[in-house]
Amino acid sequence: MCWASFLDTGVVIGYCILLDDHHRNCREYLEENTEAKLFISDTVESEYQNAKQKVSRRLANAVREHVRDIKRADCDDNLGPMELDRLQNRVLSRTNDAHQFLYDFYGEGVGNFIQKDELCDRLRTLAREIESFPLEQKQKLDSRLTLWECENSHDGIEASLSMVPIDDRRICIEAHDLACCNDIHTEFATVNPRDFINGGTEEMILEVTEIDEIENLAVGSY
Amino acid sequence: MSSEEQTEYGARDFLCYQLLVELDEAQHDGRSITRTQFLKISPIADRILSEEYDRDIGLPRYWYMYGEVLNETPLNDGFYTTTDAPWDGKAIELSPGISSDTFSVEENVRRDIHEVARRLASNFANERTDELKEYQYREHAPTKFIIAFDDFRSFITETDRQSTTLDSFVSGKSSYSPESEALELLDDALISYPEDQYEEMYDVFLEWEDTMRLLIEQETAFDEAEGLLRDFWETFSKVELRLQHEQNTPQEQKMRWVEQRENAKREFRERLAEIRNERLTNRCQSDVLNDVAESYSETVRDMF
Repeated sequence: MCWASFLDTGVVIGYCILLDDHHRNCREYLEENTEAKLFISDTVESEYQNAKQKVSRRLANAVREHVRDIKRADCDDNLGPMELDRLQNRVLSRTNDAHQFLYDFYGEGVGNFIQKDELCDRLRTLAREIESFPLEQKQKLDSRLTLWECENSHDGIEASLSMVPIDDRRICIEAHDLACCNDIHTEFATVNPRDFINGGTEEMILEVTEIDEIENLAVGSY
Repeated sequence: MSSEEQTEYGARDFLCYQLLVELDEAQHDGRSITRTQFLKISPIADRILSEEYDRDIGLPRYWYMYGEVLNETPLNDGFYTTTDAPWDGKAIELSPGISSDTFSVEENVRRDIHEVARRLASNFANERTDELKEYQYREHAPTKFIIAFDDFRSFITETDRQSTTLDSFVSGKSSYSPESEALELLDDALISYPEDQYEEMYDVFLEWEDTMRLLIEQETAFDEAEGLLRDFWETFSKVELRLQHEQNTPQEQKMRWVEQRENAKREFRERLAEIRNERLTNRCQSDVLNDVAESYSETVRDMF
């Protein structure tokens, strides 16, 4: 049976950018519920694009910065365990935005011996994946998404939603607007239980709006 | 014109005037002085006056695109004109009625300017403007990065003239190929980039560098690579070079340049993103990001 799902920004981010359990949850929800009509608003699209810019570009550039540091470092073309240890623990700067996963990259993705050029190529590939993965995921999602334009202000319920933080309130109202305008089951999917579910917020939203259900896709706390 | 309204031409105007006089005399076959020649030779003359004659005449100049150029905006105008030339460029001519007496300059300064102008005309008249550019890069390039970038640009441009695609040079990957040489030169530019000095364009440079790499690796027709290279350098000139490497620029003009920076950067970034997104999505995927999926995702969440 057909139903509607309005996606919170965190769901789009989880599907398009993340690669952990959050991503898996969002992916399962989106890819397995093929009968659902998926919606986002301009607010969600704009928040997602800002987040993607901020994260993908910054992290990809951080990886490229490390490539530059490797090329500047005085190391052999053939890198053994000692050289790799030096790159991982001394050349890789702690202030590098990508420090955490680059550190793991040396542990997981390199081995004990590698050519310097090959190491740099793998790091460049990593940087490109950081940018290309969200592009490809969003393209897949866009093929199923409809952009919902909320034309009503719904001033009457805004005051009732005071428990919801102001940034999230707009998205909640847009989901409510969608629910008002269609006669099928409409749910609101989120990875943010702290602002939409916990402490009685879920009950209040369902009471005050036309949203039929809130789907919690979070893993642990978010 | 009354004496109060007459323009007072000083030492920096006289330097430009004397260069034009000497070049005009030295050029063979009545060849015109090109605007590029004039704009590039004036800063060279000013540097010689400053370094060898200890004379600071306050000539406004700045580094832009492929060398240091005279900043004409703050000069007193009227003593030369720019005209269209038959070769699809601009020529410079002295205005009628202008002579050495038009300029109010102390005798000993005049003498030094005469010497420098004569020397430069003797060295550079009748030479292609490439020679002026090479001289400036060899003697006056402010950073190693500017030289490294130019080496890369020259290689791409030369290779483009010889063939429309890199692919036609390469019959199977060998240890040397134009592709590998281009990537090595690009590496030199990456290593020499002074990120503390050119901080504004650093992020854009990293993205541009990788995009050029993608274009070269994907054996693209060079038109696209060369076009992107030229656009990057023009943006870099506006955002960094002309503000970092300038002398005697009026405050108002400098403020205009600062205001233009954000727009120039944004427009280039949009163009770069379009090319980059297309190239990134048309390549083979790998699993390298999956190897660090958990810690990468944690880093992303920490950034929100």
